[in-house]
Amino acid sequence: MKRNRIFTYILAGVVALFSLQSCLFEQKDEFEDSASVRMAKTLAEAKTILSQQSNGWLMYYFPDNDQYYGGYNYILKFTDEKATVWSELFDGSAESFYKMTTNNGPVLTFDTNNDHFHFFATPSGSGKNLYGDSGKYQAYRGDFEFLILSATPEEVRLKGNRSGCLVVMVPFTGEAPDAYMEAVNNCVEEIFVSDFNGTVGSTPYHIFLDLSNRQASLNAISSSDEEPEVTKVAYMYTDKGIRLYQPVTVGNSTIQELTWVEDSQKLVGTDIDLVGKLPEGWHSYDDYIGTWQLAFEGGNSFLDGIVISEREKGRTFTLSGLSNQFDMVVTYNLGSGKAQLLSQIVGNDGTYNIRAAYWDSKAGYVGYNDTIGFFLTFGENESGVDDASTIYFTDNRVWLTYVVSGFILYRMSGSTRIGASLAPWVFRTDEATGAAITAATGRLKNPTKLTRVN
Amino acid sequence: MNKIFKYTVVLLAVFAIASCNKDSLSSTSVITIDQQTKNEFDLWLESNFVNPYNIQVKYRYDLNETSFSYYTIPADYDCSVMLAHLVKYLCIDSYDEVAGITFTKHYFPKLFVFIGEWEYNNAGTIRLGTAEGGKKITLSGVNYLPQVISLQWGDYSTTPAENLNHYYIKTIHHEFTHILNQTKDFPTEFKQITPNDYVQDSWNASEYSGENLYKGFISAYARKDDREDFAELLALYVTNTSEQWEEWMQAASVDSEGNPASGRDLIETKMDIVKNYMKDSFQVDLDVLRSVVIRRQDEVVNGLVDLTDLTIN
Repeated sequence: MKRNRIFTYILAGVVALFSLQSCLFEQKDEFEDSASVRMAKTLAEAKTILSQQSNGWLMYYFPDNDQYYGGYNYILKFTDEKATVWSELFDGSAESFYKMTTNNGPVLTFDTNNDHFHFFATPSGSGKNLYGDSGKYQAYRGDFEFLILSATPEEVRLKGNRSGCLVVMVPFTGEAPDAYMEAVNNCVEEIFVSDFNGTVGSTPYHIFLDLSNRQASLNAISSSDEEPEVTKVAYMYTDKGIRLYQPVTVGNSTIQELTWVEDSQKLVGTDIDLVGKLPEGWHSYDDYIGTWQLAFEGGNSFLDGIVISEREKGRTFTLSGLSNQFDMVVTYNLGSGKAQLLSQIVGNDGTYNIRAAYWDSKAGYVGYNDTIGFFLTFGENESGVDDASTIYFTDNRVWLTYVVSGFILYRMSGSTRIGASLAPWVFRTDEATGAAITAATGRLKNPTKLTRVN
Repeated sequence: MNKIFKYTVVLLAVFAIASCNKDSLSSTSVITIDQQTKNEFDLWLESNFVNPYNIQVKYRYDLNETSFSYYTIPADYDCSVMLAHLVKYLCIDSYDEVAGITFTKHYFPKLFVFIGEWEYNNAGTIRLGTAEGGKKITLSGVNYLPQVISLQWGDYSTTPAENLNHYYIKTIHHEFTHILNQTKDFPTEFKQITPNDYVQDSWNASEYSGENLYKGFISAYARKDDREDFAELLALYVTNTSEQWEEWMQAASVDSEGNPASGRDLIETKMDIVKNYMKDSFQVDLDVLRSVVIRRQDEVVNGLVDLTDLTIN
């Protein structure tokens, strides 16, 4: 009976609760249209904004949840149904469909494959995918579907559906997308300095760029010994310099876009002036160019008329004078300011390639790998100052078991050596002294240094 | 007395729920649908898939149709056009020819979803296709179609037809078999033929590699479980020539050490059940279906079918 009474009370309570309803007749709608209509309107407006920009949009694209790979440029031109995309990674453009849709908000999706745009989202397995990538089952965690945060003719702000990265688009103001991308790639090559010191406003400031992963570390330099507070943020290249994923505020100044000044190796902006510090032993591309005399171990024999000349500006040199039959290629790394003379194929004899194989002349071993050879390093004079008139040959330390001390010419079929060194292909002998610098004609034995003639 | 009181309370409660306002119902829906201009391919699909069979081909990326366990990308437009032609010519038209259009209309899956890349597991293996609920088939790796046909992709490259079958078409027959099985279950005797050799997800483990045939399984994947075994048998049977089949049967007769094995008997016993199932349940003669499928795939491989033609008849 007692339980029954409790039940009754509960019921009475429920009745009372239901009776608490309101009878408000003049409930006004917060919005005039339904949510769905408003969404459709937002999408239509965004689409108009995108397609009306006839010169296209410049997109600052950052893949990966943590922007692990830094950022990349895209230029997109939208028509009613399709988007044409230019990228800094690939030549030309690619066209595909795009669509405005909804998925917890207004979404811009590139919903058919675009070879340029979907690169960072394309996964790979144990074999190579169509881009030549492998082992990335999550791709680069790039996006091709974006939540539209805001869209105005001046700026469109998007948020990657998977990564959550902020992706900003601004109207493209350049003349040709291809030229813009070329300028970007020039910046990628030209900005080889990673350490920058200077001022932001009146604050002494330091920026370190991780050039291969496009990550910047920024900190104010304090006079005390305290560990500086470092801000880490991804960056990307622009046609003029670099751009940070998100602005960093220092006092009254904001760092986001910085302009690269090649002549003085500076990054500058409004109130920002940062000077790049060259790595130790760095020499410019032009420092190597000229006519040289090659000396060999022991110092008794020489080769005159060794010429280093431009091949691909900033990347490779032609090294002539070692042989009357062929030239060799010297590679140059802008970042380290160092050059290398590596084992390479110098020509061919019928169906076989002729390779200058690296050689340990003392231990008597050879090898055929393209990554092994000499560093060509500038020397120092007696007072320890960098001397641009002498270049030394030193083992590049890739061949760990032996020491590179010269080259031997061999016929090769793929990576397999065919027979002994080949008589018709020879290095020059020393004409001036007549000394036998080459024990056999196909050998360049123990070169030590180049001395500048002019 | 108590009862009356209770009922009164309930009655009052019901009345209390009533609203005191009268809303007039708007005649227009508050839901709007994405407006999309139909392109040439959309119109072709409408005339070849939607109108005759009520089959939808989603070649444009729809996040909600994809598996969230994989990183997927959209299919390429041109590759999608080719694959849609292949699905039509090699599968739908084959079943039409052998079993009649009513069968195809009734049973053939109603939704195809195209994905550009393969679906990669973190172990490096790939998932070619999946079927869901008897309605939907997802085909992945669509962007590889030109490479697969021209034998520039895949380690299974013997002939273009085999390559095509391996990566896409066999998958459709395989998944379609699952759908038929979901409509009508296959006899339980099938499960009793090699009950102890199913290995679930270890089917691609190295310890089992190379032994599927003589153990009585037509493919490595057939060892997963009896449903996959059934689907693999049917799919491989109809997409391969009798010569290829005989080659497999002979290989199934000897084990890895060269001793006689019962693989052939086991596979043939299973195959009889598969054939009878298709004949009894759906009036489909698998040998006839195979000759039709092979004739059609020869026509495709020999370039007799224009896979890019979007004219509507």
